[in-house]
Amino acid sequence: MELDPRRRRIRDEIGHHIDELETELRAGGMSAEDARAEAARRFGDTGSVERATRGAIPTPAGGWSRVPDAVAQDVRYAVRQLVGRPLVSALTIATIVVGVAATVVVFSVVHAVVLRPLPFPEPDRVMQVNQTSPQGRDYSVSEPNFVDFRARQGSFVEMAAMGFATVTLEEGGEAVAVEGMRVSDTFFSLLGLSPTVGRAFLPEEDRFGAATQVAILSEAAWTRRFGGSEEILGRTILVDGRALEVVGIAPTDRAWPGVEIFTPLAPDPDQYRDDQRLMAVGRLAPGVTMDVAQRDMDRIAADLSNEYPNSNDGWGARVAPVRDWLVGDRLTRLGTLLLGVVGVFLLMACASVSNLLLARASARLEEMGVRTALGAARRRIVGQLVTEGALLALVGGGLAVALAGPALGVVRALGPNDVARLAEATVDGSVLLVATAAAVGTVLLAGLAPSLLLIRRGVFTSLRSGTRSSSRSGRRVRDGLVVAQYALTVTVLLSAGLLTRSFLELQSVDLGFDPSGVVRFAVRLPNAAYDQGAREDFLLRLGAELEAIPGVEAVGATTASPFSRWRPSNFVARSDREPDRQEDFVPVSWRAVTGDYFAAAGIPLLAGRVFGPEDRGRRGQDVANPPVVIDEGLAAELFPDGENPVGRLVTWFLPGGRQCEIVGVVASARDERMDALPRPRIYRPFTFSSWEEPSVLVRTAGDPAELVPAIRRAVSAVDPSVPTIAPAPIEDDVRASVAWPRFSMQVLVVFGLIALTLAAMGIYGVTAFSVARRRPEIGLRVALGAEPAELRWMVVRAALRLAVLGIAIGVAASFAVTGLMASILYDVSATDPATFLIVPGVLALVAIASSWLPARRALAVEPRSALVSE
Amino acid sequence: MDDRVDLVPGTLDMLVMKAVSAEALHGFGIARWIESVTGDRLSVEEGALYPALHRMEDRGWLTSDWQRTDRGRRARYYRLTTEGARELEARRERWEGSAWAVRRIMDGEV
Repeated sequence: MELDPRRRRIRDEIGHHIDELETELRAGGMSAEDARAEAARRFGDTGSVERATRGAIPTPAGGWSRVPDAVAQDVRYAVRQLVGRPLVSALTIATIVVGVAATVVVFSVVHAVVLRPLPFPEPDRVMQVNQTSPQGRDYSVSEPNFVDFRARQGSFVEMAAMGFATVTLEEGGEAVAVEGMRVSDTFFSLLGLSPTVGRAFLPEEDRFGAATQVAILSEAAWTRRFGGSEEILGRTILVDGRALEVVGIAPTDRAWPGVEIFTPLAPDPDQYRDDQRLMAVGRLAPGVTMDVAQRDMDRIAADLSNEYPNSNDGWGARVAPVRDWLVGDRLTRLGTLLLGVVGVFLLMACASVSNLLLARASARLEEMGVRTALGAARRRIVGQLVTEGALLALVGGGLAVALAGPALGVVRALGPNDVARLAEATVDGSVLLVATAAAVGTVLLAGLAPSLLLIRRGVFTSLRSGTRSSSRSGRRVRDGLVVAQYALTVTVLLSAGLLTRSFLELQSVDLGFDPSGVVRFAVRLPNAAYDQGAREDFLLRLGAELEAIPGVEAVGATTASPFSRWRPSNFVARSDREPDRQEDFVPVSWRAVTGDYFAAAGIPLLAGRVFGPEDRGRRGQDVANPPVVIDEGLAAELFPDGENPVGRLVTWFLPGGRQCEIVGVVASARDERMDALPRPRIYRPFTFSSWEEPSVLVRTAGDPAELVPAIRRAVSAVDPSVPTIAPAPIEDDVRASVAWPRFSMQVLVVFGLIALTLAAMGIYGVTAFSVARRRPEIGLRVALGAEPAELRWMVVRAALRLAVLGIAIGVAASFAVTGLMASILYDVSATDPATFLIVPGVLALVAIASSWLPARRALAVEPRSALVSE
Repeated sequence: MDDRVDLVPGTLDMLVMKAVSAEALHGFGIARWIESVTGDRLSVEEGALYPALHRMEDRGWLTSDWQRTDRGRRARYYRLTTEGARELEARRERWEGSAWAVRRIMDGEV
């Protein structure tokens, strides 16, 4: 029989041992035979010694081939550990789940809304071109100016412009309002959104007055409205009463969700140069930088200023990455803030998990010490900790990802819906990557402290001198973690506090108008069928229909309803002090409204009168001094001395422009942005400007939502081909305008409360631990007759010391951090004293409360049992 | 005259390492050395000795090779490695701590 070398070696060693025994016995005088028998007897069963020796080393090869075995053993042990202490395990896992799920949800939201690259190829090369007013504000581009920019530029591969408009689509005899976009022929190829079916617009289709009537559908509209059949190509659809041939289907839904129909822009070179309604974009030519393009646009703007001084004097151009427009500065800031907070939050979770693991580790120190003494290799102990950590990460991370999906659904449902890309927030690959990194990172970071403690000190000291010294160093680490937790909690809670204060300020803002009981909707009255006078006639008839509905108190129309995306601007000046240059005019926000608009919107009249039937005129008909109504903000700006503005003249738009007579002054309405003082406002009669899609406001004494069916009936009674567009209570618009502040506040408050809970748990754990450790001492003091109050205070004081240290560090750090929040706070200083007093105070109270319980328990200690247990 | 003592559990490795710390010994020699140093009051079971030797060699505390004995026989000789010396020191320290504690407690007044 062939033996392996190890077995032979063991046999040889045993044989030699027996030999030596035998020799010794014979030297003692025994006969050779007796000596052999006695040696064999003394040695005992050679077979069992051989087996035991072989078994001393698991498998002969050693090294890596033993790993799977060891891992299996570690996993079994780790599972036993987790199951054996269900409360601690549940807490640890819950903390990981909350931390990781929060990270995943926030990351996927921020990713979808802010971080995800724009849905175009090479988005960084796509620039937005704005016109800039003499005052340096950004404006859109007017049609003739765009034509000139596009024709004269030398730094872009191509330029394209787009104008948003709701259009009426007639389908099966029913008129529906859908989002549309007028775009240049270059739009699709420039943005890399070329039609997947059919073709893009031809250059000749984009020429003003082109005879061809074509349209392109978005993929979503094509699937939803036309069943995704290619037969749609070449068919005609009725858009705003015109028959348009569908020539292509374009993948635009990610970039512009909701936009369904594209029509050629065909810009009118003779349109007003100061009617800025187009978004202009360009793709940088190879090798051209943004600065070069900026200089190019500066040059063209300067030329246009000279050529068209009436409209373009002093106007410049600004080139900016298109990202700034599509994402927005505030969103980016909010996103950064949320990511920062969730990062801090994850650190908190790390500290909590670390603390819980440490608590467990302390309990296990002794056992670990025994294991090393028994010869468990150091790497096995590390392996054990790693396995346990991996198990925690796996269970916690898995649960977190499973939870993140539903949580994201809640966020999508509750979050602001004005940011369409929020709907894109999903748990996808990159989000899973973040989740994995967060879970693994948490456990690694959290496992670091206990591992170091166990390996560096614990193992070697625990047997030498019991568990005392090792738990002392463990306690120091745990104290440090609690301090860190409090510091982090303070920063999260302070941010949450500031945002909450800011939001409450926003909620209590005096809007200057009364949104309750008001429904708004829009009607589309296309230029092809209506001029502004015909529109006013339509609206008068509609007003009569609506006022017949019981409960309706007032009906008014405006070019832009409160908080709509239209914020038209212009310039005015006092005619008696008219400056020579437009840049010295007052920039204003303006609306063209019917006389009843003020009553419908609930804007109080302060002086003079509102528009009446006497002001009604046809567009183009010259009235000597057309009437205007101004708000108190503009009144204060134009007449700072408090003179009565009624009856005075203001000049519209430009030096030498039309002089208008102020007939009334109304209250300032905060109807564009809630978080900013309203811009000075001027109202002109509804017939002043051509607006295809006026909004109607209906004030009712009853529930505005219940009015909607009656409104739809009234509109179709006046003209069945006119759709009622998006009827909704204005209070919804008011709410939506603060959706992001509300959302970020809610997120921070939720984070803050969880952080507070974690911090409370942390200090409770540390206090309970130290009370347990000091049981003998406390027992002794009780036995010696110490005052209970004094003892309780002794315990609470120790906890409070940690909390106060953490709070101080956190407050100091917050002063640095909250400064970054200043731009998203409304009417609250980033170092708001109230917030900076209340939050630390609340935290200190929480610290006292959460150490009170263990302190009380300490006093319940039986003096005798405490002393005996030592 | 039975003044034999039992091996304190967990100390065998330490004793074996001490035995081979000065010079290389084979298994039989180790057992004899321990017996002679303790005046035959402590003896080592072969069934525990050889597994311990192999295990400690696997850990890298001991190393071994075949040598000829004085009488010319082939035997496996064990020596302490540097790592083994460190381990021996650590165990001695730990042992002394425990022994001190036990003695301190047992000598104390009740």
